[in-house]
Amino acid sequence: MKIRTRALLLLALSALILFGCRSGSREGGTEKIEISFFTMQLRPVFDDYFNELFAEFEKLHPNVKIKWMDYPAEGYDTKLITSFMGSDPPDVINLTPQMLPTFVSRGVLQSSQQAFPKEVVDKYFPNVIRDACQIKGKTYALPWYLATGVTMCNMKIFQEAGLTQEDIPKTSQEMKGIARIIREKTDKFPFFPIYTEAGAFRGFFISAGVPILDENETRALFNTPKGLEVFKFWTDIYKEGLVPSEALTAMHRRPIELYKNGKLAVFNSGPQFLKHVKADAPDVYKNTVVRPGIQWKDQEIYTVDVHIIVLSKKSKHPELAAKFAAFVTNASNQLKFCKLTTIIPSVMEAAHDPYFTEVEDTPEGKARKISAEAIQKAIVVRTPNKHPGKLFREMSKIVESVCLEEMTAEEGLGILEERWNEILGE
Amino acid sequence: MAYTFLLPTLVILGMFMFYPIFRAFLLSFWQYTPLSPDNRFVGISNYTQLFSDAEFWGALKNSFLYLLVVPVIIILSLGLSLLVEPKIPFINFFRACYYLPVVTMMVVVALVWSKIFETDFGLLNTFLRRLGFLGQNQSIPWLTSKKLALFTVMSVTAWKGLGYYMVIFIAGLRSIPPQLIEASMIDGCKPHQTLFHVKIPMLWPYITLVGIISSISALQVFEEIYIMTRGQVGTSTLVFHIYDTGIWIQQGGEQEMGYACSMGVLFFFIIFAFSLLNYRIMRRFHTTETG
Repeated sequence: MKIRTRALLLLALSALILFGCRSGSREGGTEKIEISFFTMQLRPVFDDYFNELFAEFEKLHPNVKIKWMDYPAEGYDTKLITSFMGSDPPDVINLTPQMLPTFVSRGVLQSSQQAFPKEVVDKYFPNVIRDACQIKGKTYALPWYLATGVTMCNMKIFQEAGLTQEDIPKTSQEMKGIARIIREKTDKFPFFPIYTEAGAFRGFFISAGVPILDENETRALFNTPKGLEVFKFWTDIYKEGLVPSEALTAMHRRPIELYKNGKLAVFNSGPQFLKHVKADAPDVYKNTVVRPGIQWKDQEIYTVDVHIIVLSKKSKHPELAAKFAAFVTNASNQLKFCKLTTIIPSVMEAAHDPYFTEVEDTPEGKARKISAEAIQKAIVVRTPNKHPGKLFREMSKIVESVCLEEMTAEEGLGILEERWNEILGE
Repeated sequence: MAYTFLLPTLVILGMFMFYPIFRAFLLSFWQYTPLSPDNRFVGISNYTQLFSDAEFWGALKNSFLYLLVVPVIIILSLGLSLLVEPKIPFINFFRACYYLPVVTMMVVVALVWSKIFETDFGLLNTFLRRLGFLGQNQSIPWLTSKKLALFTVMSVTAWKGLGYYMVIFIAGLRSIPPQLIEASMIDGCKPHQTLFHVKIPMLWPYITLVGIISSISALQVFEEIYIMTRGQVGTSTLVFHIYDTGIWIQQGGEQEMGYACSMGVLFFFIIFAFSLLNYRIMRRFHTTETG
């Protein structure tokens, strides 16, 4: 082959590579309006449900085609930011309330007050709308599916430690007592709280009724006698060796793995994980007893994990996008979704369905009932709007130092308050 | 015509390497968060902020501490290469075994080793307990103690890299003229004397090469830290800290990309200094050998 021909081939190849980077071309002759839907970790388990849902919506709107994009939770928000930086971001997006401030502060979301009529918004649990979908009183999202934390107990480990169902703890303080017995009598661990992942420790304060920030986010509020009690309680538990050492470095996946391996007696989480326990560890599932989430002393505060749906400000078809978001989260579609896994709908009408009140006698049935009952008393552990990354890093550092006995809980909480106030003042 | 052949490589390098480097340099003078309406030019204030940032200095210190892995890598991979260099039966099998970690993804390696090093359920502590080195309720906090965690992660880096450096040393051993070794044996050298007085001096250029390549890799360490400790318990190295500050966003990271870029630029100069050192030393050896 001559050099000139080779050079031409190389040029053609480069052109192919470059043009290959372009996004896909349009389909067929009759152009349909494409509404893109960005979701978190739902494929392939729920493929059938969503394909049916899209077909139904497309039947109601024959000129619309839904494009579904599903990504793992890890790196989800980075992926989303990248697509917003491009020219074609998704129209309808599944987020969590913890991610909401990031996207609101960057001005990429449409306010749902403009997008949805009041009668649509009024159908959802008002506390969930307030806690999960609003920032500074302005609504940016529709709530989708929820999960209030329940307590799953592996009774085999309880029995090994000489405990019965009567001993299942209701409060963190009771849990500490049970934990000592389990540690003493078995080689298993009683429970596995996560201390440092994404500022997880703030959840302990919030669940105990200790506010962490003032309304305008100008100063930290946790350095009070009650705050110190909570801080001391959780750091003492670590120091006493009642939780695995990896509580300082682990992410939320590790307790699930250990519970499924039969090495963890109590697992506090959303009831949807029961499905995984049932599939991956049938023996553990057989021994699992479900109870309401563990409370701080006499407080009755349940934390709820929420998934929300937001609309992109850059959407070329905002009205259709809003219609699709309302369709995905309406009572009947949420109810169908809830029947596939142990989650709770955010629409009041669907949550009052007999499916959540007259349940079968299985761990999943009980979890569903407990979770649905707790929704109205539930709160969302929100992310601060200002400098969350810096605040969380400081919190992790101090929690770590106290747990590793480099400073006392009093000193740690004082330094943490000081550092948070400095960061909030920046 | 020559430039036409270079064009595809130049286009790809330009798009994915030179432009991002140039852009990172520009961004280091900005307060920049993707999509933020508050992005603005801040001059050199990102650089001045670095001087008072304790987290940055802590991470930089850890990155330099990580260089301790280099002598370990040199000694162990040299030892391995001496073991597998001779042509004996099944030697290719052993070579392949030692090389296997090199071709395994670091993510997989780090996940497996984090399970092995786990304090309470980990394989290593269980093994030590069974052998009686630890009491029934005792554990060594390999990955949760500030004194140990960084060194534990280093051991994984060393384990994964050994095979790669071993291959370089095998090439070095093969380049030693056999008559030199034979002459030393005829002169009555014992094996260890041949090693220290003939082989190692002849391998010096290779030792330098391995030292410098592994130093640069050690300074750039990221995946092991990200997976095994998430930068907790005092293990945050500079590359991890750059990621944590500029990219990480899960549940509320700010993505201070401008500030992270200033760290990246500074780090670029550190790595550049190492590369320059590499070039100078190699040139000196080349000059010594040839002339």
